[in-house]
Amino acid sequence: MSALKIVVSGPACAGKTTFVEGLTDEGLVSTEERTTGAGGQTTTTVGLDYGRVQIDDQSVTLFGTPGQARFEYLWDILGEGADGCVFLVPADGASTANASLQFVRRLSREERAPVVVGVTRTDLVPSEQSTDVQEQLQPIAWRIEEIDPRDHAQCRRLLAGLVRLLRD
Amino acid sequence: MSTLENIDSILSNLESAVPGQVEGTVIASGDGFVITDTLRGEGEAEEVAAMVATTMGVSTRMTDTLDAGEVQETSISGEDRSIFLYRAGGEGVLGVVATGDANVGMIHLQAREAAQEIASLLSAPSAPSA
Repeated sequence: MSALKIVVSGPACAGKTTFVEGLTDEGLVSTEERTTGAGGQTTTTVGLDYGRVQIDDQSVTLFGTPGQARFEYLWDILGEGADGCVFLVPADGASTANASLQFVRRLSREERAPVVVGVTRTDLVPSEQSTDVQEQLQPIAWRIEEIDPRDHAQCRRLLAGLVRLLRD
Repeated sequence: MSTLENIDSILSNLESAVPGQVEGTVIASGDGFVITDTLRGEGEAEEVAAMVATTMGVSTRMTDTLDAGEVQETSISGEDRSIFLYRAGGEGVLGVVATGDANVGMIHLQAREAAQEIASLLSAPSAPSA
C-alpha cells in the first residue's frame, strides 16, 4: 500500500504543530512565524507542517494545517486527497472552532476520510467538562480521545488507530 | 507623522514612481496580518496578507532546504498581473500587485528601496503591531 495521507487539522492553539513534530521520523517541514497580535502563543503556523512517519510497516505522510481562520484558504488545498484526518481540539476552548469544524465535515463527506479526534489541553479544565465542539464532532468522529500532543506515545497511539482502520 | 503615516507615504510614493503600473500594495506581518494597504477590493487585504505570510513562510523553508540564505523576494507572474513580495526586515513583507505590462525592473528598483525604508520604520521601538 502506498503512503497514506493524513491531515492534522483543528483550531488554533490545539497543538497540531507539536503533534506533527513529535511524530515525524524524517523530513519535517514546518512554517512557523512569530505572532504579532495578542494571544497565548509565541509562534503560529502560516503554511503547513509536513512530516513522514512509519506505523507498523505503513508509511504515513502528515500534513498539518494552520489553525487561524485567516489561513482557511489553505485547508482545502492541504486536505485534497486525504485518506484520513486527525482533528485536534483544545478542551479549554482556547480558540473558536466554527470554521475548522466546517472544514472537517467537508473533509469527512467529500474525501470520505475517517476522522479521529484528539482533545488536548485537558489539564487546563475540570475533568468532567466536555465542550460544545466535542459534541458537534461526535457524529463524524470515529473515535474521540484525550491526548497530550507533547506525549509522543499518545500521539502515535491515536495515529496508529486511524492507520489500522484505514488498512483493514 | 506616525509610523503608519510614514509607511503610507512610502507606499504612495512607490505608486507614483511607476505611474499606472502598481495596482495596489500591502504590508503584511510575518504571521499574516495587515499592517496597512492600498488594495482596492473590500476585505481583499486581510485575505492577501494571510497568503503573503504563507508564501514567504514556504519560500523561507525552500531557501533553507536549498541553502539559499534568507529570502529577499518572491515573484508570482499571472497572465494579467504580477505579484512581487519583498522582505521588509524581520517584521513585515511588502506586497506589490503590478499590471501585466509593468516595467518589472523599475518596480523592483523602487520597491526594494521602499521595503528597506519600511523595514527600518517597523523595527523602530514605536512601530505599530498588526
